[in-house]
Amino acid sequence: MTDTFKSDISPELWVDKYGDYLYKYARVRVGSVETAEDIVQDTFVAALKSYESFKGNSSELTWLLSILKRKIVDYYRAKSRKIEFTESYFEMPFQNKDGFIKKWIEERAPKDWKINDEPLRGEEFEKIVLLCLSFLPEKWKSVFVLKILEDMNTLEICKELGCTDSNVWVMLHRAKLKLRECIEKKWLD
Amino acid sequence: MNAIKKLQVRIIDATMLNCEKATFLITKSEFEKLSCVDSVRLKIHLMGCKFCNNFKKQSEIISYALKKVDEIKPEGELSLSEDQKERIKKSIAENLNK
Repeated sequence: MTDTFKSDISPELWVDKYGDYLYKYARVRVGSVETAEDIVQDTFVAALKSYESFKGNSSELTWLLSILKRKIVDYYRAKSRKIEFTESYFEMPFQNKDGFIKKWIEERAPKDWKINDEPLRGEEFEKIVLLCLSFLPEKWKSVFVLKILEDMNTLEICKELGCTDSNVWVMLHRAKLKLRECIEKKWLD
Repeated sequence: MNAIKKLQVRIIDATMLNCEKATFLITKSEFEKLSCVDSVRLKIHLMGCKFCNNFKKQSEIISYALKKVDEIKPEGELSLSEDQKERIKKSIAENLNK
């Protein structure tokens, strides 16, 4: 085992080499410009303080990214402790009359997007998805991002955000319904 | 008559999936294997429900798009502005010699 020295890392180059990549990674996941900038900055500062944790066998970028990923979880964790994080109101797109079976409300039901699996969607579609993702209420967004983009398992998510397993599925479900509706409006327009 | 109808609805509701439950299971099935019962119930529901089929397809498209998100180039508003870069560089420099 070799020790890591401060000379093994090159912090003066970090912003130019990895800044944009790390920023985009954070921006997609937290939505806000300011928060993403803060997270990137915190990542670099944290990296300077723990340069011993840099093992020469992984690249500098991989190491920085692992710190950034942790910062994103920390951000949502801190948010989940605040009051404004409480569940927001979303009217489910299903008929809910007494005695009725919960079918889609016709006007809000999923339409055919007329897109196949292949690349014709391109970046324009991706951008709509990201925009709509940023519109999600924070609580749902946190679950959605950690589960789908960060690929964390439900148990870990619950540990970080203080929710229950079944809660996670309910939130994912609502987030998906809302996201889908938003994308459809913008995509078919 | 009304009572019979209500009972009918309840029986159907208990055995068949409604669209709300079906979309819940579609979401869940992207990450976890459904129980046999749920899996069969979902299949049966999807045979007769155009909207939930659309939902399933859209769900897949969205997940696919999200997986591709990290391949988007960090350009334009998805990249740092010069001001932001300066600020971050400054804070690195400040912390470098601590």
